[in-house]
Amino acid sequence: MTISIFSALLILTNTIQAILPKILKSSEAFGVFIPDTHINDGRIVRMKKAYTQMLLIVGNAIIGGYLFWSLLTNPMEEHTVYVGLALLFIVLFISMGLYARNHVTLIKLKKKEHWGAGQKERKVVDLQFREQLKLLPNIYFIMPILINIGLWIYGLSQYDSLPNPIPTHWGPNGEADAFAEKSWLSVSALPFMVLIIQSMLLFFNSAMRQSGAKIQVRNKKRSRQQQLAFRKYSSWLLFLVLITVTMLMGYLQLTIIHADLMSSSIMMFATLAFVLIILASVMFYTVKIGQSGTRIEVEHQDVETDGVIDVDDDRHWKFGLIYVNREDPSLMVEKRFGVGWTLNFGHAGSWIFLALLLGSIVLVSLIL
Amino acid sequence: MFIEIEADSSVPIYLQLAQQIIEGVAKGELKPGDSLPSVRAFAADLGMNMHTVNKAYHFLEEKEFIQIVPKKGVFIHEKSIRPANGNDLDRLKKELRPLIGEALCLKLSTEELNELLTEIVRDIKGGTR
Repeated sequence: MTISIFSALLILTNTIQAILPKILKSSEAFGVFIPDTHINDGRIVRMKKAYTQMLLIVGNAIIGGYLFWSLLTNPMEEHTVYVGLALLFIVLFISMGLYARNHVTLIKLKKKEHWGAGQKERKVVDLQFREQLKLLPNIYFIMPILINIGLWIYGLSQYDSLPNPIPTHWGPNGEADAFAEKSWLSVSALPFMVLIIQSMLLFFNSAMRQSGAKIQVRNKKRSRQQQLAFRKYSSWLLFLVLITVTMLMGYLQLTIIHADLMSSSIMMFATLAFVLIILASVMFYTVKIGQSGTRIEVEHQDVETDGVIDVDDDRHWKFGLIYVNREDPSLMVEKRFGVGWTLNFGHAGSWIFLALLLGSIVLVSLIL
Repeated sequence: MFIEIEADSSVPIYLQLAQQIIEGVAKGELKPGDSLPSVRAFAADLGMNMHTVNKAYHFLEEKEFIQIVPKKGVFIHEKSIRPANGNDLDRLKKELRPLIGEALCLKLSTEELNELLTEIVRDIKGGTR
């Protein structure tokens, strides 16, 4: 069981890292802004290909070795976990190393050859973008939060009949494997943790609404349509995670209050369904939508334009990974190298969010 | 409607924003009552300071091309397409004057100026879809 979970995790991580260049915008390669004049540059195409091949070969060799090792030596469960975790870090480390090398090479090349010289840099805004943006309204996110708070209050109201010690952690089969002494705080721990996750998802949904749209000057209609779709699906994905987390954790909360509700088979099934649903949606999001919606087919073709390129905002991206722009009121922006979103670290709100998140995690670990 | 900003142009960014919105109204791409993005959303799309957008909006509000309704949003003014009144005419005259002066230095005749004017009007109106 452990070996198959870790192998699946390793394959998933490595494959997503490896195919990243295929699902990212062509205007950004290895975290570097590429002007329209160079998006078909043979050197960049080769770089991307080499990166993908290298990761697939090395990554799969590592995973193969891991499987081989576990079959041959039949290691203890603990060791399988440690080695699996270590390999996960190694796979990520290798991809980041390759990324860093390509990132630096491209930055130097772009500077040396003055890419985009003689082109006018233009920033495009669609005045109706927000009207066309169809994110799920925040009320959809608030409903599950209210359900969780309801269960929280219900748990507290049944305080006297709750077991002592109270379960705080469950294995995949739904059997509790960690306990804490019963108190008002420990009874609140589970719903509080759920509330943190839920608030985080609500925060992401609201921040996405305010996030700046990046319309490309040479592909205005295409980039607009892709971004609208990307944001819509991002919002749906958040909602799906919210619903499944609320249901799974809500069920656990109910089993604490009414021990007879607990059924190993339901729990196994629910956990498995949860993992599969989330995995399938993430795969769909990654492969079918792509970062910034790059994998979405667009009917409207843009008229070919010359002499203009998008604005080079490399200076706001540290190592092409961390976005820091004090001027930009966006809290969240689309990642440059990776699937999904990242915070604008030039915005005080991002730091407040991180501090609150960290503070609540510390608070929960202190209670338990 | 798309707006395109050139960061290293000699025209200040707030003015580029305002001018393109006015042209959008003239073309009919923006109609009276149409809503414009909030200051925050607009600035986020630009990746620029909210101050820039604020300045453009106040500039347009002063000329009665947009209406800022607190807590509701920003809209194209109901009277954005209107017969010019005395104030409007005075302002236009004042703003055109330095340009005409420049044209006279460049030895443009009144006919040539007229031609130029007709061409620009046709160009703006021709953009109507």
